[in-house]
Amino acid sequence: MLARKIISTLIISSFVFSQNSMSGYGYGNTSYSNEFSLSNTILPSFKENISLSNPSTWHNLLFTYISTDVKVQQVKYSSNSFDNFSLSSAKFIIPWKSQMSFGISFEPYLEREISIEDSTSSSFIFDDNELFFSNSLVSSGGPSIGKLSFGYKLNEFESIGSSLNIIFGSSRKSRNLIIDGDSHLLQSRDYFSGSMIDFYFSSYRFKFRDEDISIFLKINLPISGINVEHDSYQAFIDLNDNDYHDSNDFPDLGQALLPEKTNFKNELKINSFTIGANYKFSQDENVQLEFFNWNDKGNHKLDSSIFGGYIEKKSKLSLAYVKFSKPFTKDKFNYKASIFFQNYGVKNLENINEVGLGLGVGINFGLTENQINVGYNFSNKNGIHLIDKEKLHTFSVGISIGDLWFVKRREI
Amino acid sequence: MKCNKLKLMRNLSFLALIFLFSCNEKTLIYTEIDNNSESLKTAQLSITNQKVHQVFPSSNIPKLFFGSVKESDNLFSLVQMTLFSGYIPPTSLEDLLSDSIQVDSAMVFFQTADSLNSSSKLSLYSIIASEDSIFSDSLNYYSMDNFIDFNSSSQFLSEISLNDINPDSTGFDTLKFMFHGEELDDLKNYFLDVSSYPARTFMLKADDNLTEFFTIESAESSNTPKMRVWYKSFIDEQTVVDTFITFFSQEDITVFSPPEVESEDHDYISTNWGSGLQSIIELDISLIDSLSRNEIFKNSNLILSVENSNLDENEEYFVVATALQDSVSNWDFSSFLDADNESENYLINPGFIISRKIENEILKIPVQAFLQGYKNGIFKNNELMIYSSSANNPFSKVRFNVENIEVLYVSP
Repeated sequence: MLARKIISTLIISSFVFSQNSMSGYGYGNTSYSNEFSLSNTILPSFKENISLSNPSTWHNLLFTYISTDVKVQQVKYSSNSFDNFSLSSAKFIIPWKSQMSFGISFEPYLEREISIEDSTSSSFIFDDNELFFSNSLVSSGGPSIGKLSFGYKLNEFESIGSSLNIIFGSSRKSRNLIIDGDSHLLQSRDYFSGSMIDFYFSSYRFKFRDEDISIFLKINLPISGINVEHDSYQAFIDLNDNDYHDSNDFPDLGQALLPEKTNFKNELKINSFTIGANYKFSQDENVQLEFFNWNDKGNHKLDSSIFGGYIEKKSKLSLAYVKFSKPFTKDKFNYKASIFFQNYGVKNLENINEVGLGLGVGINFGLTENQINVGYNFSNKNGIHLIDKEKLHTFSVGISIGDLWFVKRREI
Repeated sequence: MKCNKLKLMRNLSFLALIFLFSCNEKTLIYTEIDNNSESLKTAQLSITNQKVHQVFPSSNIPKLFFGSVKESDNLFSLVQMTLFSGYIPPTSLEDLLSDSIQVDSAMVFFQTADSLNSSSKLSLYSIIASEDSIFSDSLNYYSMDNFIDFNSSSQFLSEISLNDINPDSTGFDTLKFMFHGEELDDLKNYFLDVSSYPARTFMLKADDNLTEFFTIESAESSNTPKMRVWYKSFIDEQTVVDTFITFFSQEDITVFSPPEVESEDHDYISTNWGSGLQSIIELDISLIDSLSRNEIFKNSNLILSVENSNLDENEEYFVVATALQDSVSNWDFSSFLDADNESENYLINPGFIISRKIENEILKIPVQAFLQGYKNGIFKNNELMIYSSSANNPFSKVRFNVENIEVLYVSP
């Protein structure tokens, strides 16, 4: 019952996106959930040898889990500071006889949540009157991604996994020319559809000084590319100031032109490659290294970007330390720390460099090794359009709840 | 134990939700987005054609009016009364002539919102025609030949002085024609006797000395003209009912000689509703054809200056501008009086009707709704008809020059 409530809450809340300057590039920045404050994505972070983002590790789970985390972000640049929240992800994973596993997850894929406006007004003379005007731009929403995943243990050392990714959802953009307090709105909506596939591979074959070195690999490929249906509505003067085009506006809704629909094929064609290694240098301590490379070879014919550029490639190197608790002991605490360096290759605009740090604590509880995670991430970006430097403080809270599935319970 | 942990998990979930919803999205404020004057543009439209035409004057007049002003003559007003009273049981005019009824007195009364102090007299006549329907909406100065000669078919009943007429706190003063003695006999013989004179129509005429414009409320007003008759009804030898009865105005019209249409009128934007003088202008809309979908008109005014008028000092004059259903093919002066002009009937398009008042010899008519409607395909013709509002004095005539059509259009 509780699990059903939580799943319902997650589904209802799964279309919440966070705002920062990266949302203004192209169709927005890809939103990869950092695994419990770590900047790694496919390396073990949940429990020893298990990453909830890597299906090839799921057969190591002892219980079925539902997991989610929310984050609160503080954006800082110059002397400005803004807070916003978002839901990072919702996952449901079922291992089966330590041999294979299934999972389903939902999470934001592209974050387009951003609202910017001029800090000053300009003037214009008409009919001997001075008109003051300024601009504001708002985009919101963004596509989400639903994943249907499968993991399989090949042998004692190797396992594989795969995810079918469905991209869906929409985003809205509104450009406002404010003249003497009157809003002149140009609104549009983008509908996203596409599919991708991920392949995962894990190997526990290697050793260094008698300690395990695990290798993890992920390849993400487009199946059909991401298509965008762009609906552009006619500009109007929002006379009643309610942000909607209705019969009280000019021209009124009945006299406005119908929306223009344009279909753009393969606007985004994303592929990525991730490789990482986990070295277990003591009984419960690990050092992790991960390299991530991402490319977008989409057409980008539609310029629905807030800024005049988009991210065409990025690469990231991260280094992490993780101390896992011992299962079913009094040691309930998992400690995590990471540092990463990321570079964004931006088309038409200056490239962006990012340095980040992550700290987190995971607390196990319950017979099924449930886990609560609290984390903090800090990142510093350079080269952001218009503002150059931006600092992000992110606080996250996650919970993973386990239960036994497909096991016949004995009456006690 | 397990129950306590479930409660803990539930509480944590709610805490997470409270945390999530306690944050706000705020707008990022940048120094400038792209303030530039390209968002606002102005242009001057020109007139490519104009014409003056004379339509059959409208009979849709909210008042009856009197006085010969501005070189025009007020001829007479006709007021047809109801055949039956407004009380139950219905009593007809002729019923008052039966042997069992004794008419003691009568009063025909009208209400006015105007003030007047004149030595002129207002005379009341009864039309003694043999037909019951002697006038219609199509009666005016130009069509009088199609009707009976009202002057020779009338019988004088009474007259009153037009001095010291001042509206009271209700906003109206009452003009009363009282009937006793011989005058009452005339009323009975020439008005109540609908078998002989079925028209039951009064004619009102002011004498030639009245040189001020003066109005009384018509049948369209709630203060419609009325006739009240006091009488005794002999039910039997012992029973006499002493009572009164009221008849109401059913239809009325004022007939006057309007200002003459002069040849100079043809060269300007000329307006006068008494004579049916209207003008049409054709706008050069090449600018509209060149605008993009999302450029919208904001402030756009057709500015006319008064070339010549017969307006009194402080007299208000309203001008109506409307779109047309059909395009104009003949740009020469035309009149309904022309024998070959039956096809020139310009129907207004109700999608654009606007009225503005002359101020400081300038008439400024906002036309952005018309221009935007034309751009959006709501209006097919680029012509505007300009005419005098029927709220104006029918004798007031104004000629305009086109000063300017300055438009401001914006693209968000």
